Amino acid sequence: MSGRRIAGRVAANGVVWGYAALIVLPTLWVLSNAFKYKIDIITGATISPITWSNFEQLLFSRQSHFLWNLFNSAVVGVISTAIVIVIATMAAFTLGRLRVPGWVRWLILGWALLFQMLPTLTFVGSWYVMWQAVGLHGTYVAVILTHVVHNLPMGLFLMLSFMSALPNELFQAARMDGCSNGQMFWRVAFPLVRGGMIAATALIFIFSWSDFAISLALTSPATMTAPVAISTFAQEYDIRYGEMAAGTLLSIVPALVLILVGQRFIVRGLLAGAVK
Amino acid sequence: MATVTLEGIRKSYGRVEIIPSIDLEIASGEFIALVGPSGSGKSTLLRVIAGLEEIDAGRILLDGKDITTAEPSEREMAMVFQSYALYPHMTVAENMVFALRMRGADPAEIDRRLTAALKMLGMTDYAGRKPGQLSGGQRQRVAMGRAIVRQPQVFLFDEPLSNLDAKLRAATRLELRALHDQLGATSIFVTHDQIEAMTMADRIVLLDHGRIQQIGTPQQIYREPRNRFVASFIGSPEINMLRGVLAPGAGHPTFEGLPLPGARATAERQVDLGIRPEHVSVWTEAAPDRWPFEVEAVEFTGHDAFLLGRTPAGRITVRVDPDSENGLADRVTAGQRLHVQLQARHILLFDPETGLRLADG
Repeated sequence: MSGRRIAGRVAANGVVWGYAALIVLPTLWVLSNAFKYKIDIITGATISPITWSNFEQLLFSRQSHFLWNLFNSAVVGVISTAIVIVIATMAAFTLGRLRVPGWVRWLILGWALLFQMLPTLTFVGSWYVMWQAVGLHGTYVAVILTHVVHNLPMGLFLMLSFMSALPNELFQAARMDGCSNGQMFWRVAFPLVRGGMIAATALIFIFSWSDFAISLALTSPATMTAPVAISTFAQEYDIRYGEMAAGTLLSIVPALVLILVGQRFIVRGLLAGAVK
Repeated sequence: MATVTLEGIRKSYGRVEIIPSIDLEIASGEFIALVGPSGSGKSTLLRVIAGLEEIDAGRILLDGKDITTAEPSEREMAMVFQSYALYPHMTVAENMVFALRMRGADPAEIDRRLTAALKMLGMTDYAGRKPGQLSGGQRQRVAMGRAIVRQPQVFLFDEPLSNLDAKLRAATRLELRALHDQLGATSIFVTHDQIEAMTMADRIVLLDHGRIQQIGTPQQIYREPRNRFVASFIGSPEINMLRGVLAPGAGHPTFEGLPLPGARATAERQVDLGIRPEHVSVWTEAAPDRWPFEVEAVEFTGHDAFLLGRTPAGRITVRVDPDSENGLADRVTAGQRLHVQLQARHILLFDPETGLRLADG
């Protein structure tokens, strides 16, 4: 093996391991903190006695309602994701498969892209004022609908790429076979993009689950989601690293389960349109 | 059984005119091939007939009934797509009866037709499989079956053989034609493959740039091409096309000063002279009515051998029967000097400007 090839391999491996380290090490550090006493976290001890006190504090103390927060996250995530996927799939079928005037298509997709490009924080203030004005601030409705609005462009683009991957002749065949637009959707398009819907569902759910900015602005203590709850452990005079780490660990679990279950579909979803 | 009539069909995509204007009458039970190079508008025309594309002007009649604005499913036509367009999530049987189910046909009747079609295509054992578990040839059969169970008046085929390998394609050609004769429906078949068109069709419609160049039986199209495009498109290897001056000459006509006895030439004029490779004979010895021919390449295909070479009037291809002329084909090598004679009665003359065939050719 030539020197250049060895150097190339070392460089390539270095990049991969370096990238992995950037992701894995902070995660491991946070996770290990969940089992440490506060004094060990602050002094930065690597090897330290293991304790469950952080979890006990998080789950059972009176200052914390973390299980309730997890439940809120689940409610918001499940309902908003379901709404996004239903709308996105039908919209993708309409935009990608039916005769829609070009300017309508470009207006909707252009707006979606623009919306996706602007930072979420730009809108959070306006949403706060709007929900406050109609008296719905702090309710599930406000958080869920805002999550729908926020995640719909991504869902739409994902579903559009799955929808346009279906061959045109299939829909022409369906028309010859006598399908109406609705039948074409339910009998041909829907069964064939189901894999894509699973991928999009997993991704959108994770976006909603891990959202911080919107939930921070729009939830009340009763509807507070897990990421917002974790942030409340950082207070003015006391940052409760242990509980934060324990909360992070618990909130990663559902996302992790989803990824393990839907991994096959997610990878396909992220690559959709990239390869034929 | 139904006639299909196209009257003044026009179709453009935006500013691009695909079909300037087409009139066509297809007889009941006829097997018609729409042939042309890519971009000739043949597939668009088929989709127009199917109702999958809207037209800008004109009328489509089925048995005299105007179906111009009818939905594709109301036209009593079935289409076999190039990609077969089978529903991947349905079994073979479900694919085949989908149209009947959508129409709300009687389940007993659906079952009867399905069984008959599966049997006809030899696919009975595969009824429960999904398209992904079938070979290319089997998928093609399912696509055919899907059309057959509908018992349509008209079959539309969009290059249905182009995804099959050469051997299977030849076999399927015969089967398809047999099926057409058995079912008695009208068939419209789109292909860019002239062999498919020649072997299967009763009549060929040759299209170029959305215009009909010629309509006729395979024999007419091959022997009596109306213009240079038709002559060049049909025939493999391609017809030899030489541009030059044809003159009455002294004693016998000449082409570019070379002898061309038997040809008709009333006045000296510029022409495109077409002669098919099989209508040129090759000789080793010179004679007054033969042209010198320098061989540049020899192609041996098994049942034929083709000599590619140069004459003073231009490059031509000549077909040589490997079994005759004293094994000439096997002895010829590149660089060899031979002599050729154009068979005068097979010469086709075209106007160099318009490309139209000249009356005296």
